[in-house]
Amino acid sequence: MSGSPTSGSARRTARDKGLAWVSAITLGAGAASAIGAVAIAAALPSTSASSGTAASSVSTSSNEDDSGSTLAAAPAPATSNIPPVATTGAS
Amino acid sequence: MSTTSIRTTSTSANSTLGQTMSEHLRWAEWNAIGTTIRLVVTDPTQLESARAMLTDDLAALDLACSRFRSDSELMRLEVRAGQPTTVSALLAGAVRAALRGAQLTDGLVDPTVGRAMETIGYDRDFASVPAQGGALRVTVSHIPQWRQIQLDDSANLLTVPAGVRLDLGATAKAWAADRSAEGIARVLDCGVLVSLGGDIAVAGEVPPGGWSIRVQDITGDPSTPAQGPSDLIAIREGGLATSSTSARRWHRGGDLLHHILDPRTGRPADSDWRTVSVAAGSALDANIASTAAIIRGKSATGWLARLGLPARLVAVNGAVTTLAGWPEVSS
Repeated sequence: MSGSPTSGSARRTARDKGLAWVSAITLGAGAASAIGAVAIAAALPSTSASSGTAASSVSTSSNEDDSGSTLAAAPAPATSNIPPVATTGAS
Repeated sequence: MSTTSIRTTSTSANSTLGQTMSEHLRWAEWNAIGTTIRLVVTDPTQLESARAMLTDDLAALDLACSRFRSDSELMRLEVRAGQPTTVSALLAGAVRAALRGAQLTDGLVDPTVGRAMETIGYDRDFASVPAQGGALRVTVSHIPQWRQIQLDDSANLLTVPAGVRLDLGATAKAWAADRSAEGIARVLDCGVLVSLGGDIAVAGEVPPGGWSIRVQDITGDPSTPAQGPSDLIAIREGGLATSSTSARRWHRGGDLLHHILDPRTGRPADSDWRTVSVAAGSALDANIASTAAIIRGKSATGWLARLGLPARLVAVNGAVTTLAGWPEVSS
């Protein structure tokens, strides 16, 4: 696949090739145009249609099933009033 | 019981040991595998042994699974792209954990996003990723999908198609935390908490009051106040993990990017949540659920509630939602 300008034609080309237009990462439309950038398109799962909208709806539908049903649960955490020994957050 | 964290010993420039909470809890903290490692044990006499075990575990993990080392088993595997290859039990285990995440989330947590991650700039240890950069020129490409990865469990035979680069980062740390906590507790016969960048696993003896952990946006020093909303909770078993778009962020052009990719789009998830924390039967499953929740966005609350996984979700505006038994103790 080749690099694509941020344009409707690039989206159409991607879709014609069975790819879904996903997004553009740009400096803004003007800047993007100036540098000839930028776009990401990615293939959808084979069960998905070739548009972002369809992908979203397929995915949402799929995600309403029993996905994750075998993730192991644990007893709920309790409140604590003693100083923490660790923290959890982004790292 | 002491209410003050006491840093007692400094063993190297980037490693500290300490005593906290009670006379019987000791901790060590250092940096490895691109993140902060924290180890707590219930038997003070076992801290050094536990730390040695965890250090060895992490060195082996890095050598097997890093996508930032040309000498890692994962990267060397690429020369045999498309061919079944016998891999170490460690790499097979990490891949198995990643595929578990993909399967249980309908592919929302997908290890085949390695190339896409590189495309948006996360192509080296995060500390070396430039915080700022020009707009990206991105190539139209396929997200490979996890179903293309074949792992024969009985023989640790792994097949990765040509052109696919695995990123095990989403699940490998959590899986490793589970593995090390259980191994250390079993060998040293004490209670153990292992935190790998905030992916926390506990095993063995439970300290009085449980393992007290502060939940916040960014993993940090528990002896200093949290930035932003936080909860102080205690767990007695399993694991706790937090996924967040608040860290590992960088700019390219005018865009703020982060490390949680939506495999459906190949770009950073545009989530309603900035931080999701989940308690589960293991750190791995907690991590899978918290990562998937970020990518799911709004539908994550119903999903987590249906699964009965206690969770705390922080919206982009800072509003906190708790569910499935997570205590409502926000501060």
